[in-house]
Amino acid sequence: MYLALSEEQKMLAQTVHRFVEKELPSSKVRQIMTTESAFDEQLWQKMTEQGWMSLTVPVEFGGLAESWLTVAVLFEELGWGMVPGPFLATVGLAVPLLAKAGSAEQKARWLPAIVEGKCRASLAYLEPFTSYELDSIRTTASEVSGKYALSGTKMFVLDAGVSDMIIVAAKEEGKLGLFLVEKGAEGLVVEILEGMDLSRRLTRITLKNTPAEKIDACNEPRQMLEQALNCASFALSAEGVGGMQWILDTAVAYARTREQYGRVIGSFQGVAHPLVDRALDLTSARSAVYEAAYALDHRPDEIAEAVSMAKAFVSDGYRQAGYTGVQTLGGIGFTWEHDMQLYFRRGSGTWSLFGDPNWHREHLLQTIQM
Amino acid sequence: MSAESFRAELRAWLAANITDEFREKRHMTFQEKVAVRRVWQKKLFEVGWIGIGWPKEYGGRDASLMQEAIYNEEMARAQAPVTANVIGLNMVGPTILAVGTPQQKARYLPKILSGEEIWCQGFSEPNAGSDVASLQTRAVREGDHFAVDGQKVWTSYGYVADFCILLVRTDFEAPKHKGLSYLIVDMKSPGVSSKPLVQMTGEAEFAELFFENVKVPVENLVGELNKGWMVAITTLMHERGSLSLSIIVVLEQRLQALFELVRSSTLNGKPVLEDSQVRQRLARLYTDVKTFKLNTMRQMSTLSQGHLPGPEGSLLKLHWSELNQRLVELAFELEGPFCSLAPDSVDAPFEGRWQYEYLRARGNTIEAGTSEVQRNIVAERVLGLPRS
Repeated sequence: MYLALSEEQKMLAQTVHRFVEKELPSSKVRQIMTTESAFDEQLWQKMTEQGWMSLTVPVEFGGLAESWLTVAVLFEELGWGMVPGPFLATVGLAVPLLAKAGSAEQKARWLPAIVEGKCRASLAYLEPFTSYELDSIRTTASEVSGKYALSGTKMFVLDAGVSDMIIVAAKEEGKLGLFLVEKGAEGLVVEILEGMDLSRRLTRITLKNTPAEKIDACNEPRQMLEQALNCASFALSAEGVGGMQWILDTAVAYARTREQYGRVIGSFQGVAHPLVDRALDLTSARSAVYEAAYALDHRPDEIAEAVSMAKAFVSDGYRQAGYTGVQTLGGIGFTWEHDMQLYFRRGSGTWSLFGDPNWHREHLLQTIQM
Repeated sequence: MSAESFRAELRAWLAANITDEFREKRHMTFQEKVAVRRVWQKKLFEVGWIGIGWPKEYGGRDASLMQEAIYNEEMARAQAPVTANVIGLNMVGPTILAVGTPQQKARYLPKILSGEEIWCQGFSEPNAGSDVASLQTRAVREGDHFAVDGQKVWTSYGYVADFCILLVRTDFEAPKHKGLSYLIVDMKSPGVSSKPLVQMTGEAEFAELFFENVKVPVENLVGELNKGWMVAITTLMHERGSLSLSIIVVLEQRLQALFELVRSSTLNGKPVLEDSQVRQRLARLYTDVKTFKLNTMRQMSTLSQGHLPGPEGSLLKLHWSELNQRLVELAFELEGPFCSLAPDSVDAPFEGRWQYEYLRARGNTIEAGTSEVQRNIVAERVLGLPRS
């Protein structure tokens, strides 16, 4: 059971917190968000210098292979700061998958480059169906004399527009496999979708006989994919905890100073009590995320259960925090100008990413044989 | 001792020692239940399996927080019976440990653990519910004793207890929080009387207490004269904090029972387990119980690093009380038309267990401070919002 952060982890949290305060004032976040891919090369390099690209990369490929609890601390503070761009896609999603499933050559080619800040990556698995299930994948992979080509449409791919490499889940003769597609590959089209969350880009990619490299070092691609999605759900949940914290901090600060009817509005129980409920949500969300970190670090049998619990809880909690945040701020909370809406929209965008809470709760029950 | 051998030893002991004589029957009176709980607590005490976090010199084990966590898990897993002295163990004991005199510690703590002496908590009064500090029970110093007069109400274990922690007014001029003192009262003292108070469940778990010129020796003062409010706060913090550790066991057992109910029930001809609405609620409750446990352990870990229990305990109290209501509501609803039967109906499923829990749970958000008061405490003292 998780109980407390180490001194190093507390220091990391402070470092990240100061970084986002210094590097990412609201004006900067908003400027990056208006770019086509919500990507800023300079910011990426600064994050690289901090060593954050290497957290989930194995040591033999130049990474730090930090504990998942440390990863949670990093994502939580990045989420508090509304850090835009493909960090989640790269470090939280593609790296764990490649590190698990890739061949030694594939890892040697991509992972050190990621650590050095030279490239970004993502995963394409969902398709234009209302389903989170891997069984609904229709994209096909066909082999001609040792070379693979992919055809199909992928949806909700995170930040594919700035990805140098995309891992694509496709079916080869009906069997699920993982394939590596490089930026600019023939027949690859990336379209940016207008997403609820303005801080990263959801994309549609279409593949038409697109050349791909098979990730054939693993025997169980489905399992690898599920495990990587657990890592990504976990990182996203940690980020969500940071977002919930920002919303609570901001709403409480407003309720302590804003006056109406000659009183500070936080003295009204109708204002104060929902904030208390969000504080409880936040406490529980953080517990669930840290417990999932503990499972990832120490209890492989409990990962699926703990991650689904965290993802379900944070997804609902982040949205609910957004409702209370906007309501507490009243008129100003409903404006484009106030950052509350950025967190509200990210919370709403987080809800369905990598499986919505209803899906995860069902999954949770199955993992405990119910 | 390693965590695993600690667990193994406890598990083996529980497996060998939980027998039917320690199982309460649903329709026993409260006094009969307490008698069963006492015997079970004595059994635990004899081998040191109670109050394990307490110091060795008073009968505990100086257990670490991790051992307490394992203890709770094993108690839940074994469906262990409940103990008798819930107030003594969770509120009085920690308070005396924190502020009691050496004599008070030596005199009272071992018998709290053994269950030989059962305690109740005399705080609430007819006109002092949530606003406890406005209480009117008075104590006047007369030589080597205080003379106590007044009335307490909603006192759990009130008519079966041997001792009472009694909050009284000793300075009648001072502002309401500054004139209170905290006394230990022997319930067999002349002038003490109690009357069972029947709850909406039909059971009398609590009581009204009356004090008429009751002589309480001055050495029974806990903490300083007129500084009883701070002592009471210590007790209430423990009620909200430490008590949560034992509530984990209750909730985990109840959740297991709910899972059994879901597995074995059909509603409108279909297995309940296949109903997606029920499944979603079940997963939420599972998450609720897990996060409550984790929240409690995280908070307790800050205590074991030397901090006193703080207002964050109110979050735990809010959490368990409201989640227990959600839990028993689901069980209640799963009985379909049978949920319209009273707990005591011979036709009620499971001896009316869930009907009883459904009614009993409404008290959870009132006892030990209403949810409204807990939210005020968190708003002011955790979030730093102005007083309402």
